Amino acid sequence: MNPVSRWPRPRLASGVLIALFVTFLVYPLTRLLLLPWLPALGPAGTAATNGGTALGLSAAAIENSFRLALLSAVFAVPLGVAFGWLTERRQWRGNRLVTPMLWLLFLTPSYILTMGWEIVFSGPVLRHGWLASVFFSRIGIVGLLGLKGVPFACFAARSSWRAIGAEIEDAARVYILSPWRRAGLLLRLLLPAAGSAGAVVFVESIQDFGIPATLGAQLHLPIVTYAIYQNLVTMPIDFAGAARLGWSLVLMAIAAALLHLWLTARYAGILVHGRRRAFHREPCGPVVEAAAAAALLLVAVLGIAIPGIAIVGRALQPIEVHAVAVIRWDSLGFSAIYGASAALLAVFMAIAMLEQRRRSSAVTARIADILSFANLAVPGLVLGAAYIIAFNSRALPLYGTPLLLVLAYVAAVAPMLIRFLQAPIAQIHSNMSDAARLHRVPFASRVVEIQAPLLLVPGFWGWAMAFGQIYFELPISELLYPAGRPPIGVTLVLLNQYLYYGDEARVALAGIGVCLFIIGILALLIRLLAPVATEEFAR
Amino acid sequence: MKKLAIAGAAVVIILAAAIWLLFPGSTKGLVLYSAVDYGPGVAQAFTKETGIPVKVIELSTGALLARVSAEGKTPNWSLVWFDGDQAAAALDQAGLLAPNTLPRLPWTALGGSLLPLDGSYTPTGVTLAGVFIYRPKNLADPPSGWDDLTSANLTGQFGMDNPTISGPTYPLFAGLLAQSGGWPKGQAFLLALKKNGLHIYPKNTNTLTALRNGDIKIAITQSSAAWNVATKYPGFEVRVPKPAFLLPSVIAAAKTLDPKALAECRQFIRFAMSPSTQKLRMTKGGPDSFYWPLTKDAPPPRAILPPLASLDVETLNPAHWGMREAAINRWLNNAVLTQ
Repeated sequence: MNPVSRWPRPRLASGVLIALFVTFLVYPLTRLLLLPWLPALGPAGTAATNGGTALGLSAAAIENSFRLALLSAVFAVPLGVAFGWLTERRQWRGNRLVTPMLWLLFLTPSYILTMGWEIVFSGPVLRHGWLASVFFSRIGIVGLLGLKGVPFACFAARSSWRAIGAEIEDAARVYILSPWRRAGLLLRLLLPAAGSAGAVVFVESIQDFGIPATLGAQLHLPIVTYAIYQNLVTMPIDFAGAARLGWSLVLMAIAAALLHLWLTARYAGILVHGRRRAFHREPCGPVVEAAAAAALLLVAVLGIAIPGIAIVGRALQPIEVHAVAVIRWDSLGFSAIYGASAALLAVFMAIAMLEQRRRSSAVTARIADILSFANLAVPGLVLGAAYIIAFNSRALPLYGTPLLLVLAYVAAVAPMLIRFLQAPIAQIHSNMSDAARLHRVPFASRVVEIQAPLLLVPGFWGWAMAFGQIYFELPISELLYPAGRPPIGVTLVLLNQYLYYGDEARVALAGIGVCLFIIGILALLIRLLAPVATEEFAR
Repeated sequence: MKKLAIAGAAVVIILAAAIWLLFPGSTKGLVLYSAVDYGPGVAQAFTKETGIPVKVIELSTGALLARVSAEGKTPNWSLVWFDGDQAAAALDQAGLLAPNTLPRLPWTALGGSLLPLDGSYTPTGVTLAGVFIYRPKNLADPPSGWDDLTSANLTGQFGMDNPTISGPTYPLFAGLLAQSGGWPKGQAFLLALKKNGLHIYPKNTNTLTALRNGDIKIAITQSSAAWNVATKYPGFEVRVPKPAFLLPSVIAAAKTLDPKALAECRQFIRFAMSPSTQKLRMTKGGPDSFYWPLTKDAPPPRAILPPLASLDVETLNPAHWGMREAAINRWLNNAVLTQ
């Protein structure tokens, strides 16, 4: 009996994976998006449309959404790639600050970041100055969306910078004389990671509602998400109208996904293999060091220090005694459990999908990849409504359970994780597993002894990113949270609604602290488990 | 291998915790979707008195309506409680509300005028859709009516929430349209407000911050929010414009409930309207506690509120204006909210 082929059965595993993927990641949103043509798929027993009286979509709205998102990606990706290069390829005193700073920025939800800046610009000195007019404009919107994208761009780029071994640069030095062409070669190897970061930042920006709605309030800037939002909160609610508008975002996301796939197909390289040699980091020159310090200062001051101080200041306001008890401190714990489990499932799903794609160049895997991107493109309110409509039935009665909330979170973060983990998985040469397989090492041992150690660290950081995003997620949470178990986003919204701003700031800061604590503890654990890999990955 | 086993154990612990949490809880009792801050307190008191468990899901009004509409005719909720009889009328027209849940109560004349014919929702109190909140030190002579906002001395000095983001603002716009000749004739008045520098902010927080900072001299907000601010922060005063538009809070039950659950819902509604519970709503509520009761046996409203009889108030037909919300919001977005 051949132990290699006996377990697992690849076709069965693939079938189960595809069934899960289609049921939980593709079906809900597809059903909602088809409402304009198939209204019978709408909420049980009601019309999916109010007769087309709600807001339509203008070309200006599409253009604004596209332009803001593109500029945010253009701002975030080069900065992220540069930070990745600094942390992975250069010895620099500031490197110790880069990683925690970017994690703090990544974990701070955009609505908290916006709130911090709003507090800053409500002060008497800045309120009417030119800085305020710049901030409450397209420049401010792009700046905040871009700042939020920098950490992901850096995390995605780091894995590729790390994977490019010394042997590649040595070979380039021997065969390519021009230093510019050598740099060009390295940048080409980074294009898949940069494309992944660019696509994710672009798509997350086109679906963002809070930042453009708040900063662009006085501009009355038409954007697609604003029009969608109006369809979903104006009675009678028009899901078909929202779906029609959602198509424009989905098409933009698919275009971004196709561009990323093309970059991956054209420029991806196998970088992790048995002969890879570690890269020795060189010290920075004075010019590079000055530029790096300036970039670090820029992101730290604009992304963390100024809004952070404003929020801490508000949190230090005297504690009020409220007649109504709306501070649900237990929501910090609920969000931690929702986030931890959803992020874990999302990491497993992303790795399984990427492995599936590696094993076969199946077109279905690529189609699935693109389809999953649609979940990232639509606003959370649309995704939440899609999950209610899809799973509030006798056939799949999941609505109202925490499980559905977790599954919707998985759908929301899986596209980002697929892109984040794509480079680390694609860069692992298959000959390592192949050699073991030829030596009749069983599948379980191959997974545990070869795949798991290589994927443990990138998988963990992917989990941490997903956890941070889910922890503060708001619109999906509002629509799907089960009774008595509110996530932190719901608590923050209620505190804001009741004008308890000091409590809102305190709960937000506590949430960031809980997030950092959990990730920190687990990072330490991983460091103990895989010291070498961690040193390589999470310097 | 040993280390990986530890990692595996960690994963198992996380999943075990998740499974424990994800395991569906008891399905007994009622589920209340509440966008009013006293909702959880009332639910707790009801359970204490009757033994019927009530699970509360607290939501903003917009999210509540989206959730209820997405559930359609297979609702997970038993009761909804929010501000705005126009939205309630729209839910009723969609066939989502159980008829005849209105309790027999000693209604005031105003309360009686707000009752729906089919008894599909119960008005539980009223606030005003728009009042003027201002700082006397910045504005000695506040306007008394809506027409005053078009005067030259208030150009660019007043602001309100975006009606397409902040739910309770729509009834205000509907009221302004109604008193200016109806829809679409009343558009001219809203365009005049725009011409005189009306500021539109995303939501209450932003409008009140602009007022506090002195960016505007008058914030036009729901009366409950205005009196809450005036109570919490010294130096603010509230003026009720003539006319002011009533914004009832409403409670309703789902149409598809079984007879037992429907009976429990009726019991809850009656409990919510009892004098002792209304006292609780006024004392244990947040901003929403600043409401005028609609029953004769209710305790008097909070002391800061003027007698409702002393105010010039108008009631809007919820069915008439509820049906036009999408069309009016579309026009507002294109004609008033854009530059």
